[in-house]
Amino acid sequence: MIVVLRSMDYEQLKEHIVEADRIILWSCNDCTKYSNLGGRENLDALAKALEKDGYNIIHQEIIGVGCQPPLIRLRSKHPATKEIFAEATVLIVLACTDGFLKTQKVFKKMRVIQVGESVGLGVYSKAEGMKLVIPLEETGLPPSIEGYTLEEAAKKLGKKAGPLV
Amino acid sequence: MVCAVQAIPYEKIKDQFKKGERISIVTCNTCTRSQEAGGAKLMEEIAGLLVKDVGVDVVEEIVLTTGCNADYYDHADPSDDVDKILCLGCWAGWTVIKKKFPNIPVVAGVRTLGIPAASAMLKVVAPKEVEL
Repeated sequence: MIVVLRSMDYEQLKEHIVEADRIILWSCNDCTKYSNLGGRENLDALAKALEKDGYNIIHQEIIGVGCQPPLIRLRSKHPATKEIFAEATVLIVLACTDGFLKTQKVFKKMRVIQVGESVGLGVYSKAEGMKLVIPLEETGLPPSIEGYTLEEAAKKLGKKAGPLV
Repeated sequence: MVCAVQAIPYEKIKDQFKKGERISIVTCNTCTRSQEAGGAKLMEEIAGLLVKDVGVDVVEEIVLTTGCNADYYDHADPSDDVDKILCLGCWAGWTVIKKKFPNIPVVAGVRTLGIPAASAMLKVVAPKEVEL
């Protein structure tokens, strides 16, 4: 599983959008959910917070695996969602780096905002949550069989862990 | 979900085992299977070859939906009565087994290349003793 942290917080996210934007919130329901950044509950919470702050959230989209281009393309063409995607101006993506880049490639006509960032491979368990065990070389962290909690990894890497709100 | 992996050549895997050893084989049915480095079919093939070529005793074969979910491995109730474990999963899956059985050698039968980022590949750090 990919461990997904983030570089921005909620206030920084708001710097990328304006009230006139028609915003879609998008989340991968796999690694990013296990990394406690995405998933239905976090998406709902983010939508509520943004709406409370005056932003126009026109849709929320959960995708089973956010790094698979055929699945992403399906959302842009599916009869149930294609009109919604056509009228949106901003897509806020809760996914890993790969998921963000692939989503950006499909939805070329709107501003696609990256929230999540891949930092390595992790192991999930219900008892311990997601743990980073095989970091990316660029992080400078050594591998760990015990694993780094998301909070530990975020602290060591100068990033943030968990949901935006 | 998808990390990039590469199958280790069978000859290298074979060299890690000795006649009479009791072994278990664990494979992941997601990333490694989709890249033909793991999965049930490949596991069966390798198990058969190791029995024929080396003379190991394969006491258990486990297919995990995802090898990097420790709950799945626990749920499979793996035996600790083995001399070695062959992991046909990525290095994250390898750590799952190593954490549960720190005193049993775990042979990594799959090399993890990294995490894709569009057309680029973000390299990961290899744990000690994982490279054959």
